[in-house]
Amino acid sequence: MREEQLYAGIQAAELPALAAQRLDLGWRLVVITALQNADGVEVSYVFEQGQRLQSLRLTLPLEARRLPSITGSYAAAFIYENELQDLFGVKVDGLALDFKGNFYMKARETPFIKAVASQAPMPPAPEAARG
Amino acid sequence: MAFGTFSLTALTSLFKKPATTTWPATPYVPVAGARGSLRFASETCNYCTLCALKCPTGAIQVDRVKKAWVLDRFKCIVCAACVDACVKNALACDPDFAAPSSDHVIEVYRVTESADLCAHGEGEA
Amino acid sequence: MAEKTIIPFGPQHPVLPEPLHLDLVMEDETVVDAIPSIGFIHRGLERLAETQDFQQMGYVAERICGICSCIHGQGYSQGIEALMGIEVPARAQFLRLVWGEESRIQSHLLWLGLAADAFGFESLFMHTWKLRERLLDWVERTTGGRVIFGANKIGGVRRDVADGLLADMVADLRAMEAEFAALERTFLGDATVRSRMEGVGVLPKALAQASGAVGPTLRASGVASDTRTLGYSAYDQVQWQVITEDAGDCFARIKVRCRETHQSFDMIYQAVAKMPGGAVESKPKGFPKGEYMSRLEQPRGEVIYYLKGNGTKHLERFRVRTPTFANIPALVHMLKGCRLADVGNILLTIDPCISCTER
Repeated sequence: MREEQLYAGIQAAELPALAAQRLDLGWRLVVITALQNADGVEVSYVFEQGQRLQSLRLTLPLEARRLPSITGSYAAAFIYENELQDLFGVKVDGLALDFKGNFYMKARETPFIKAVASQAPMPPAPEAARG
Repeated sequence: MAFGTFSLTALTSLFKKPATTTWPATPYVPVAGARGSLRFASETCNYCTLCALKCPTGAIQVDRVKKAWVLDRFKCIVCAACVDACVKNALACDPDFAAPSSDHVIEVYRVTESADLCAHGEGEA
Repeated sequence: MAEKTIIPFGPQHPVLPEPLHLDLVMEDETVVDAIPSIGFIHRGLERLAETQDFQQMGYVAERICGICSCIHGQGYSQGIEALMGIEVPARAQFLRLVWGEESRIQSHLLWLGLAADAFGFESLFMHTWKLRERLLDWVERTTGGRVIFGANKIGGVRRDVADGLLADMVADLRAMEAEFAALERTFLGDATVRSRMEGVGVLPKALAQASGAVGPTLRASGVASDTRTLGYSAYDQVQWQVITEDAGDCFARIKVRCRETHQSFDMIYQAVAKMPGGAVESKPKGFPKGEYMSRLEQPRGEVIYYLKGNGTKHLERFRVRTPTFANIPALVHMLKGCRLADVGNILLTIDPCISCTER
């Protein structure tokens, strides 16, 4: 079974206002997840109400990874935003509980960001005979 | 609010037989079908290298040319992905666990004997 | 005027199954604030999606955590099935439910034992785990693994179980449920247990919802939220209900988990009685493309798998948000105002699975 999951593109500046709006309407923050793609870092804020999932999505270029915090509305978001800071190097402004990059014990900084030079994540298509 | 609710359990446990077995005096009986350790039957293997491709840890290396099937048991997590992949039924899970070992032995199975011993087979792809 | 001191709790502590660090800001014996610190067991499993193909990632997903292994494997498989449009046969759905609920029972029994050990009732801990061993023997007979079930794969389940074996299992489960009821009398009735757990670590309903708590932690505060109501697997075909308690203290969380264990037993009986025949897998064809969030109910709460594929054999992103990660803010709230001696107990009542949290 596949449930319907919607994604809406937004701008970083609109984020706190949209989050406050969702809080007033009774939406629950489920997760904030990020991934690196060719355009930079794509961050998705996933909300849920009545078993429907909706996400707000924005893409940050690698040179300008900065976001406003939504801990003003969703205090529990500090765990996800600290994870964004630690693993993706996204600077979050106004975080209520800011670990300043020390939330995760890591061997190196921003382990989930691959250097742009080697941005060819897929292995070459024609492989040697697979058995 | 009750007191001493556990006393009946504790008392009856005194007179029941222990829940533990006296291993090694009583031998361990492996459960049939358990994923204990990997067993390889070299007679039926055709060196297609599918098991090596499917192995998530890279514990299996297969050399098609030299006809060698190499297993690093320290890397094997007994997930049985290779067992599911093998079309020749050359692989199976033994219900008993592999014996602990302090030597890192890499097991090499070969169909034909040849003068040079290959310790690392090259897998395809 | 009380002086503030900071006491470090963890990462090594007898109550913790996995390492977690808390800096407890204390005023005499009372905890004023708690600052969590994680990362002791961060293995970066999510990045393995770059080197392991999407079928091998199932094995990685299963091994994120030992206690929650079965449902991790199921969640990953369900996500890929949704991406590839694979229809799982009915018998596989029912078997997934049986194993998922057995996973829940063994996890709750593990937790109950640990909770008993945390407040010092070691013999109760031993008896609870003795019962759990009996269940794990059945898991091993039906799936081949005690801890890592290895039951789920993309398209269904990896092996079928003979109906005769299932019937024997149900007969023994009924005997186990009766033994569990005897232990439950102590967990829920004994004065020693209640004196340590009642009124401790209260999480009010509004705060539980605002802090994003999930699972029994949320349900013990009166919020009827359970991801199984989505009806995945065969949950829409067995009778069950969401279990809640109102007190929001540690004792309420024990009650919720005890009642859930009974309910899981009941769901297994129903599923085995209704078990359809037929195949247990559908062969997947092609590669996953698109993105999807698969949500399941782990014993600890709601788990989310975000999977993104681009038509090749490697996933572009594999992201797991586990229930304990979501319960950390709730934990911080619960710890404020408690006594130092209760920190271990309160921490344990969210059922922390830090391996899951940090992947």
